[in-house]
Amino acid sequence: MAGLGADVMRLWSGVFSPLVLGGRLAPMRPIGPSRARHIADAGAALAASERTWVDAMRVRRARPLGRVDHVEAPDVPQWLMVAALNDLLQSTNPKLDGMLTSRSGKLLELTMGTIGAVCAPASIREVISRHATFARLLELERVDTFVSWWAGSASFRGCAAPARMLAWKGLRRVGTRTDRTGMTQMCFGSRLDDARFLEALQRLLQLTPLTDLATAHREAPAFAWSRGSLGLILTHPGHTLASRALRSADPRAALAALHKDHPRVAGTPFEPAVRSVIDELAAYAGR
Amino acid sequence: MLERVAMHQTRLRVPGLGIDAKGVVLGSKGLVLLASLERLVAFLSLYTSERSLGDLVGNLRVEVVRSKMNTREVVLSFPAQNSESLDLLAEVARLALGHTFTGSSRHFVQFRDASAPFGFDAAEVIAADADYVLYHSTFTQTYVRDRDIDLTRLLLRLRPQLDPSTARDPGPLWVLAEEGLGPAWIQYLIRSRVGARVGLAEWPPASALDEAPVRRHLFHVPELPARMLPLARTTPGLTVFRSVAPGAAVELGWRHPVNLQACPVFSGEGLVLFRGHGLDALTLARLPAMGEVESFARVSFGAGNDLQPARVLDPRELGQVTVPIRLAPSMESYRDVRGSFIAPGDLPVLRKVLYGLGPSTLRQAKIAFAREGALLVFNAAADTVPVGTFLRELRPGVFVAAGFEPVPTIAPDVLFRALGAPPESTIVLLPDRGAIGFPNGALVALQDALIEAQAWAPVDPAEIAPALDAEVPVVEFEPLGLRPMAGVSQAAEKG
Repeated sequence: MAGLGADVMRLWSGVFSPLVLGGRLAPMRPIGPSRARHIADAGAALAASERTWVDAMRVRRARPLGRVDHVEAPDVPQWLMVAALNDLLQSTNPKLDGMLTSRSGKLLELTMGTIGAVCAPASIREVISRHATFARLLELERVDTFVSWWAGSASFRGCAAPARMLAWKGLRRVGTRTDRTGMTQMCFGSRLDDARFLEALQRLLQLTPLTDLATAHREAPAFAWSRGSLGLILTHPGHTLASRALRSADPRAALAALHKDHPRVAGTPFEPAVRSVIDELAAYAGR
Repeated sequence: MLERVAMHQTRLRVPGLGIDAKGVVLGSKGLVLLASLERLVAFLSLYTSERSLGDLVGNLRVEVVRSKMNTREVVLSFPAQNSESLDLLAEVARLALGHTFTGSSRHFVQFRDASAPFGFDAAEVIAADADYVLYHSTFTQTYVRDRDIDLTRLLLRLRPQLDPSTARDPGPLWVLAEEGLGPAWIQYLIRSRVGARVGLAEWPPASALDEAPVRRHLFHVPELPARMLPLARTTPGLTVFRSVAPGAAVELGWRHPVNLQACPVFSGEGLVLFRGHGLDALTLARLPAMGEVESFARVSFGAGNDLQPARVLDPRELGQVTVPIRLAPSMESYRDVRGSFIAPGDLPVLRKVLYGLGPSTLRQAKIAFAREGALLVFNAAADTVPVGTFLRELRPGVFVAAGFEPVPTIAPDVLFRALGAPPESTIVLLPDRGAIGFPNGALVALQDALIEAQAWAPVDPAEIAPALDAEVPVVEFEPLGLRPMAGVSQAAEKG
């Protein structure tokens, strides 16, 4: 465990902090469920002085949904979720797979294990705290560079093309193009199973119900009611927060997503609460 | 430690003490020492049950003091007007198990009682730095000031006590109705022909998760029939309060421990509603705008089937009956004053008055200049300036000098038509100048018209990066080395 402190700081500065503040997000080497647990335990004790600016931005993320001036510090489950995000991003790293080896699929399965070790939030404070950290999860982008020359082409996902590839541009007729790939499309073009990647992303989102509801208008992975989001809307303050989250981005698209998933909860004890949320959102969206 | 003062004794040892006209020892201040806050409440309750605190409340000071033994007691200090008034306070204080003293700044001796009709003097004055040195026949004690007690806050914290007798003949009432119940109660009052005034009061949200403020309808009912009282008291969502003092009301069936009528500490502009059942008092710093409930009455029109058309005659058959319009002095008070006509000679006065006008007046007022003078028009009657001839608005576009009435008393619309002015004009009727018409286009905002060109100097602004500017998180992969999955899982590494 000699390097545990270094790993915590690497995960903090490479993933956690940029996830909240923005800027360059550099995932560390794959972590795995076992080491993720140790890192999460150590990360939860991270000094408050290290978190000042991140905490200020987390409060800013939470304020549109509730008038809070303080958000709880990241706890062990949140650190586990960040470790899972690190591994999820690394599973799309093309350098992970060798010529004869395919490690990305296995890393994705290990990531599912890390996500499975995190339980649903138990209190409204925890819900707000998780949302404050993961509100920008689907805003993550990756810059992909495509280089072509007279005899071939190469793509570089999430890293810059080497200088030698760009040398003698005129003579070799080198052309470059950069694309920005969103979080939900990062698996495309890799050896990963797209459906499995999106399932992992959906399960990660479901662990932070407010983020899940606030991005319900997304195209993929499709919104689905989960234990966390259903538990949230059963409480009065949770119902208010959920309604605000659904209205925060695209209320009409969010309403369509809720209608699409409604048959799954029809006839269950949760249906009245879900119906209430849908009716309120429909009134707001003018339908 | 204390000595009785004898008749005609003139010299006293304690500084600040004197002898009044009756020979009684009296300082400039009186002081009541009480053992606890409960005793203070008992004292206030006893005193206000028969007398008013109105004379004292302006200079009354209530403090918690600490003795050398670290015991905390309560001290009331007030100006001692004469020995008779202090006698009354001393009697009430004795009833509340308190002690009464008199003195000036720091040293206070026990006030007179039956054993010493001319009061007491201390045999020896103690040299101490304490805030209060109290000499009593049974003790001598020094006290240090700990904190002040605000009488208003103390009264707000006291919970009313159950007292069914207050429900009989309650007098003027305040009724607080939850937002959804207000309209139904209004219609009920109208149907029952009960005169009342209604306003919508607002309080801040009950919790941080509520978006809207708490709104309740507030009714002032001068006389509620006894038959309606049980319904008002038993309907959930309605709370009936008995007006007990200006700016204070207590829920019907409950009584405040202190007679609030004798404690004029609440402002008459606001309202404090003391609720029973252990609930906190509701405070309104200012009463909401209130109107008669009759204004909400449903209006219905008749079918009009019984109209009988009259036979219209040609006006030429009636002969000439037109008369000129005159302005006659009116006995009515100035009301609806919405403007001023300022003669050219008064414009320098207006320039001086403008410096004293409030921001809303300056923003909303409009002015038009003409050779005959200036017309100043305000949005609200309260915004008028004390310059020129006050103008009353008869209808939009027609002003008449305040204190005058156009005769014959025709409708303002007819008057406007009779003047023959174009619709986009503002007519001013003055007693000595006749009618003056200002084109509406000449009316400009007062704040645009009054400011002269100002000298200014440009400065170079320094750009400040937005403090909370958030970039998009962009994923960048770093080299993973030869064994990227080392330490993750042996099984995974083998693959």
